Amino acid sequence: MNPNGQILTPAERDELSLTVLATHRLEEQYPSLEHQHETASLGMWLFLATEVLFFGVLFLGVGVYRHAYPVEFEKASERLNWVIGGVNTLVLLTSSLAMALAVHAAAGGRRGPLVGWLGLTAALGLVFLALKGLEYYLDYRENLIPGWRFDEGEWVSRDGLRPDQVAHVKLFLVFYWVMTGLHGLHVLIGIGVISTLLVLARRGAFSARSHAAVEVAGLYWHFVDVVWLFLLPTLYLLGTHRLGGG
Amino acid sequence: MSESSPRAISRRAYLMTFAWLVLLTLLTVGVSFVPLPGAWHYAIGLAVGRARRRWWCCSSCTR
Repeated sequence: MNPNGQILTPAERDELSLTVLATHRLEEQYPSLEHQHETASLGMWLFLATEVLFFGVLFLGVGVYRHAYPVEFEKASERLNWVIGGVNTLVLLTSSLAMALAVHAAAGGRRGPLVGWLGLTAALGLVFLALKGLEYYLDYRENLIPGWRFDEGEWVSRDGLRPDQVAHVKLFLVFYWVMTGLHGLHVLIGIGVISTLLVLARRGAFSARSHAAVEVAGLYWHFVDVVWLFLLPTLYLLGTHRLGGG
Repeated sequence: MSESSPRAISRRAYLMTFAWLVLLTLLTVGVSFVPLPGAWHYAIGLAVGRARRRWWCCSSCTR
């Protein structure tokens, strides 16, 4: 208690609250915040390694079957909407830049820019999903959903494929739906994580010394971006395209 | 971790990396419209991938 009868001065109260906050964030098994930060990063890198295995198998599958059925895979790829795929690439690259700047702001202890960049990252993630939804709708209209909305005769009459080749077109489209669907799910999870960080950042939960959550979320978001950078040429850009050809 | 720590990357490096990635993406899409033999597409794709990798190495060294 000070001479004025107050238990704590405002400055002392602020200092104590910061101390309590920092102590609270340091889990008991770690000797320091830096150690805790490094462990969080390592955990995310290990998780991303399992994700590389997960997506890697799918990319390997596309590569093997594309080598076995080059004509069918190129015909099917030409029907995908490369314009939306390309625009979505730019959207995700921009969102990755926003996420990197969010981590930069967190490392500098700047709350306002951190909130702004996280908000932009989540918003661009939503734009990506909206464009993906539009693309899926156009695919539905174009009868590109094997097992539900698919016209085999169209591929025979229009693209000159034999009926047995149409089965390979379906195989490519299954890869397309599975891979882009799983990627979209990852984007959705990322938006949820970033939105949570946004709320926490507004409450002042991160500081220059303690922002591991923002950094590991950034690693995840960049990984999602990188997966899409591989998906674009693997699915949308097979063979030689023609302008106006979809 | 403060901004002045050795791990900090400048804002300019982020912007340059972004511009470089956008350029390579446009190149990747553009090349798919050029009627080249398949082997050339592989070669250009690998060159684009290598350019991305080299940029990453360079930007890491100049943090």
